[in-house]
Amino acid sequence: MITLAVFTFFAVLAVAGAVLVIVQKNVMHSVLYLAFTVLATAGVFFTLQAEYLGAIQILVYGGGIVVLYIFVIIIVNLKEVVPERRSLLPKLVLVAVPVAVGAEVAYLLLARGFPVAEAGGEGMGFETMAETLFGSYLFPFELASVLLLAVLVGAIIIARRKLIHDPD
Amino acid sequence: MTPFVADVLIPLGKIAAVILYPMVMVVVMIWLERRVVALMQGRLGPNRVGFQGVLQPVADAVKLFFKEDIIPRQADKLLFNISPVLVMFSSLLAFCFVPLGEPVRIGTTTLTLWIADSPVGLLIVLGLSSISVFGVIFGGWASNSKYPLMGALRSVIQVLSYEIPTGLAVLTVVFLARSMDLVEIVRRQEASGVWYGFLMPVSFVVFWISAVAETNRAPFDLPEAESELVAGYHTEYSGMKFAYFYMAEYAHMVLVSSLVVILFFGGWLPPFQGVKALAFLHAVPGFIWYLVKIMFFLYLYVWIRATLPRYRFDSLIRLVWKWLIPLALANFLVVALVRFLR
Repeated sequence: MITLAVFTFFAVLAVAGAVLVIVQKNVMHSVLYLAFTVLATAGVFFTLQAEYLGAIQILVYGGGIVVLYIFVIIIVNLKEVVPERRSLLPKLVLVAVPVAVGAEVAYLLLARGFPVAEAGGEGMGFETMAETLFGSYLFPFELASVLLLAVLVGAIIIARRKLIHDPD
Repeated sequence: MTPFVADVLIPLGKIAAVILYPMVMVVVMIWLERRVVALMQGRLGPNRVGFQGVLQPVADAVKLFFKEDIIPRQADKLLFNISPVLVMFSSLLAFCFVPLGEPVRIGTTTLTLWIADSPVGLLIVLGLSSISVFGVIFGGWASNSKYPLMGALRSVIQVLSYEIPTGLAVLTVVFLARSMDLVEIVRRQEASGVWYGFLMPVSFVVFWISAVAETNRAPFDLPEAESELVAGYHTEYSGMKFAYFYMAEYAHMVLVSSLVVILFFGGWLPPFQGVKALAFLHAVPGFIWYLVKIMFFLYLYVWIRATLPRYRFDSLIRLVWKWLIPLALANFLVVALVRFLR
């Protein structure tokens, strides 16, 4: 009962935060709510006993990615988002795609109901996950890291090219 | 034990303890720092309020409590007000995961000296201590003023950079202990008989340097360098909001000292475990040993502050990327190799 209450609390907080991220005009406020969403999601993971996932959520998304967002916002000095004037067709697409996705999710939920996963052993998720990740899925895991490396090299090359054309 | 005591009183007591313990340590620390730095610099320091000035932090707190709370007109109100709370929240929350000792038996019941025992406690504490930078950046940005913004920017760069060697140093401990559970790490040190700080001095040194940098303390206090940036990110803050930043910084120092003690110096274990002649050391409760060790590292913070001049910002960043990270990586390789060969 308490677990359900805590879960609901964090879940509502996460969704409310996510909505506020989109609604806000001030970019910095958006990032603040994004941080709330990230932390609330970590709370959801904790109530689901996925403690490793929760910790990583705080460490990587909270401590890393959100902080980088803030950094970029300060550097490029974004204060207010000026709403773009769009023509009718992009507006239609902007509305149609979320509506279609929402309808699909609703349809699937109505047709199949919520899938319920089997509960794992208490406190064991962390070790099982490590074994799966570095045992059965080692190759995809390494492939993903190679992809990240390629992205990193690409970013450096793009950034360097500007410097080379610079007369200084 | 009645269910009322077990389900209500003990949790409430623990909640009170987890808030009071850092706060008391903060008060002690503020007094200690001002007195010790003063003595090291040949001054007297505050010695008027109470015995040797021990009540000075209380007097300061009362003063700050009654001070006018100023919000700059151009400031972003929401972020300006929420930043001190964020900083305090992350520092205090992390203490829930820091164990204070082995479970204590009182009569028939066992009392655990921690609030949350998690198999990934170490990761959670590191994560929470890294999100305390939110408050610093938001506060610096929301003040809408030059010096706080500069301080906030420096703080982001510094904390992000120094998290890498911290993580790598912690990784070696996790590697040896085969656990990220803070209680389990101490038990492993008890079982192996050698504290990890003596087994892996390089990890400890890297961790300590990064920890000093992450808590924004001298010689790495660039985000609040008073001779360059007035007071850095909290220049525009006054009254209790300033006090929050101030207390959170000290609470963070207590947290980091606790982590160092748990990871590298055996937590609540008495020293010289293996020596039979010194077995009487076990008579002292573990919590006392723990406090003594934490106080040593807090004293070290003050000592370093009074000894070393502040780094320049570029040399600060050079230190972490060109020295600490390669050193931590090499250290990790060596530890992994030694453990593999044994």
